[in-house]
Amino acid sequence: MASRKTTRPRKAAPAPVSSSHVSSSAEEMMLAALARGDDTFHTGRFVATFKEGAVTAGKQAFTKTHGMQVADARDYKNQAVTLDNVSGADAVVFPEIGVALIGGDAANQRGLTAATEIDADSAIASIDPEYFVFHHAVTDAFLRTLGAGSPNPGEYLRGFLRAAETIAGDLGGAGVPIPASDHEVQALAVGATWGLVACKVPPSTRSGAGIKVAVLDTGFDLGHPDFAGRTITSATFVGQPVQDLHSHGTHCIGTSCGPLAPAGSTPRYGIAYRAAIFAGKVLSNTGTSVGGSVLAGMNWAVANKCQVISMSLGSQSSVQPYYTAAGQSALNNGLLMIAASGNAAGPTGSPANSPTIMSVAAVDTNLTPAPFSDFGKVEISGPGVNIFSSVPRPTLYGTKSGTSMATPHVAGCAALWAETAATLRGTALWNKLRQTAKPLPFPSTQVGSGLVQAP
Amino acid sequence: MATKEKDWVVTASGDRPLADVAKDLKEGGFKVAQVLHDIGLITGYGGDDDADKARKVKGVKDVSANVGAGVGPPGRKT
Repeated sequence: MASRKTTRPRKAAPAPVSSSHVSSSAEEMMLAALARGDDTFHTGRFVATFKEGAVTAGKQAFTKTHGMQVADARDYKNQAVTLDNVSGADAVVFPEIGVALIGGDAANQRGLTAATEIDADSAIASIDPEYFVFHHAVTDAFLRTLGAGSPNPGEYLRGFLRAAETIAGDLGGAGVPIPASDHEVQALAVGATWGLVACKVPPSTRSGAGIKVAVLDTGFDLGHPDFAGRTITSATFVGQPVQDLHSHGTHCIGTSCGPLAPAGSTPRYGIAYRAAIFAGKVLSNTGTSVGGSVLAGMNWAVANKCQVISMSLGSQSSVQPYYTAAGQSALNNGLLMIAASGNAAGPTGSPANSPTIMSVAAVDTNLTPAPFSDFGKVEISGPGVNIFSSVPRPTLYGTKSGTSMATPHVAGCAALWAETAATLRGTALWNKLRQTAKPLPFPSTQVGSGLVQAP
Repeated sequence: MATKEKDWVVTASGDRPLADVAKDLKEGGFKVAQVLHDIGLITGYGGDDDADKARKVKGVKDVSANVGAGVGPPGRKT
């Protein structure tokens, strides 16, 4: 058992309301971690690993020596513990895997943290912090440094990458993911994502200044360092704080409105870097609408006269009269709604299938329609495979694929076009985007008028 | 027996003030949730029979079920 300075069980002080209790949700713990500026990925809770065969002894130590209320997975049907159903417990023991989850306050009050020196005769082998688990985020920022200073960085990089690929193949390993397309190689050379390069964003002199871009999605990480100093208006329509705990909304806002020069060697991933951002949380942290949340968000964006309204959401359903009416209201007010066609490899879903809302399909790095991209009623295309952009802290950046990622490329470019002339609004902006798109050798039902291009 | 309540969206025709349409909907038993003046829609809920009655209200162009929207949980192609 763990060493203690006294032999009497310490009576635990009444625990304050904690955001790292064993029954705390991931959302609660994440919001608390963000509030304290913690970038260690630690949830605040701890995981005790018992020595082999010592689960019973360890549990007894928790209860008798440390005075903890301990829940045991064996007390639940089929040992299916739901942590929101262990209220009152200071720790939960999982006997099949020989570990226990200890709440943050309980651990700190009893000296059962990762800093604890464990006696040799303890039933506990180790105590470690519990960490948040995120999706794997891939950046190729380090590759961007290659070729810097070369008179022909593109050729240098191609040569380097072919050599690296050959060496990796000889060694029998997969090594670093090797970009295959010209856009990816150019992206490394210019320090921007392949999608921005393909849309001719880096050479554009436009920034989206004076333009309001509404992104109706899962919210936004309002404290993301890349957006410090930006004009951000936010609202929630789902009964949860705007703070994005899903990541989708932050990623889409990053693509449409991200900074010109992110910190360090991070490549540029955003288009309208001086646009005013309107982050409308119309989808919950699990990625679904709540009642009329999408419509309420559309209404809010129109009421706030957002010239560009980006919606990377939808459902595989037929044209809905109410979406058509919302899109028409936007056009009547000189505003443009842009929506993802969908990812079901089927007919364009709603709201993108409304005639008054611009539908966006996804292409890959070879400017080929993505296999998942919905088709039929498609007005235009955007980069939608392996798109690097911002995600909520502490991860900061991540890569996603989908027509959801193609849509903010069109929204960002729309903001740049809107900046060029006050007449480019609503239907006129719609027409300009289609007229200036890069034609692609695929049916218009798959790619619309082609790949969106920046002015 | 009343049918199960669903989320509905009323699309207004635009020839009457939206507030008047909402008032008449409520008087007919439709439970109004939001009156979205800037896009000409009213959301609410009720059974199929409430939706049928709502379609007959002056200034109503359409009453359709709210299909909802999503992106799926993190990690799914969206």
